[in-house]
Amino acid sequence: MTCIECGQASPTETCAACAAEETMYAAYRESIDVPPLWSGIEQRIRPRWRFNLAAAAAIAVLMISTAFILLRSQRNVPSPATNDAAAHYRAAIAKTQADRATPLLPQLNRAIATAERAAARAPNDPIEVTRLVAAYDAKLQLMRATAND
Amino acid sequence: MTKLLVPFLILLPAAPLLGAVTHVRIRCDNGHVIIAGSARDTVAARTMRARAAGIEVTANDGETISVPRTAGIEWLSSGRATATVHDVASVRIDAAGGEIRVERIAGNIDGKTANANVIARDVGGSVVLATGNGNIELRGVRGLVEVTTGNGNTTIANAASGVRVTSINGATNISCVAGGVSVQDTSGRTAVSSVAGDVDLFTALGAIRYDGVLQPNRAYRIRTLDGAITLAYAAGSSGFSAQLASDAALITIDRTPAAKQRRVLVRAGDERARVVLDAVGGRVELLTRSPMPACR
Repeated sequence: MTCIECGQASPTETCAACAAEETMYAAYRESIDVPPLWSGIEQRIRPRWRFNLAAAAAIAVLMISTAFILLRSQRNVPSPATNDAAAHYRAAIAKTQADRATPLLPQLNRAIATAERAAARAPNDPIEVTRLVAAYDAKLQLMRATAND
Repeated sequence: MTKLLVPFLILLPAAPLLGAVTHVRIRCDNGHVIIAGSARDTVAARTMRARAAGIEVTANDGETISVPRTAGIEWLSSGRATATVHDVASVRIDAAGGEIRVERIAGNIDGKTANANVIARDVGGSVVLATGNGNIELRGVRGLVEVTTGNGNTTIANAASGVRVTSINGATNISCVAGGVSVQDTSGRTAVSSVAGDVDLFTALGAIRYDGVLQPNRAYRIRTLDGAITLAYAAGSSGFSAQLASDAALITIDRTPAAKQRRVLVRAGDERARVVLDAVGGRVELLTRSPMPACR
């Protein structure tokens, strides 16, 4: 052992300074504060997780923008019922041999275009879907009526 | 000391402070709440505050809220709370999920839900409801009924006035209506029976069936694009004239297919009832059926 007080490698009992130091530590061992060095050593052994604000903000922005894009894309996708009904009507209209000179047809086509846009904006809104179906139906019924005349 | 004071804070004597309470707004996101109309002019709830427009209550699970019988109730829920409301003047609903059961409402019910179910019995006024996916069940409504739904199922029975339903995919069941019935459906299943007024039913791709005694001077108009429509008339029906049309030549009369005919006219008796069954690519069926069960 090397005594801190006298700097000699010798048993404590041969150095008065070391003996005094040992006596002091023996008397106050329980009340000695842990030196600040210990927190530094502990940090090296178990490095603390550090919150990186910039990275967290970047991840949050990424997640929010992804959710927003997903929601927007879902909103613009027509529901299967809307798609089905529109497809069936287009097929039925294509099959109907009507008088193409019917003056109401352009108006009905415009009504369908308007209803298509509204239904695309709100594909799950029953009112908009029903309006779209009604717009197609009006055209089909007119074509059937003129075809049957 | 605080515990001793709580029972005194629960009862808010609203009438002396604000005049008669005409409107109670109740917010609840989870749990079950009972809202009961009473003859008293006070509102009794655990957490509430008076506002210019009435009283606002924040309800908790298991709570029973007493309100004046003359008050209109506004039920707001952004969660999956369930409520039982009875004996109040009117009910307005704005709910995301859960369920609202209402009984013995003197006036109107209106509102909208995303996924919440609405079950109502004995309503003195009209019912106007819109729902995305919630189911609606209405029994015993004196006023007009108007339901708009996306994918929810709709059941309406014993309506003393007219009924109008707009639906995309849900199942619609309507029975025993004193007024007229109108259904606009896209691809759901619709069953209507025993209607005293005019019947106007349409589905683009779904299926519709009407059962009932045909009334004189009434019109029964059922149309489809590519779906299936059936009218089954019971004994005791008025005489009628029926125009059946199917561009795909899929017409059946009393379970016998009309051989490749696209238009069929059926006449019976004095022809006072008028029937139109029209399909573009779909099926049309006219048949007789056994007597109808009595409406209660």
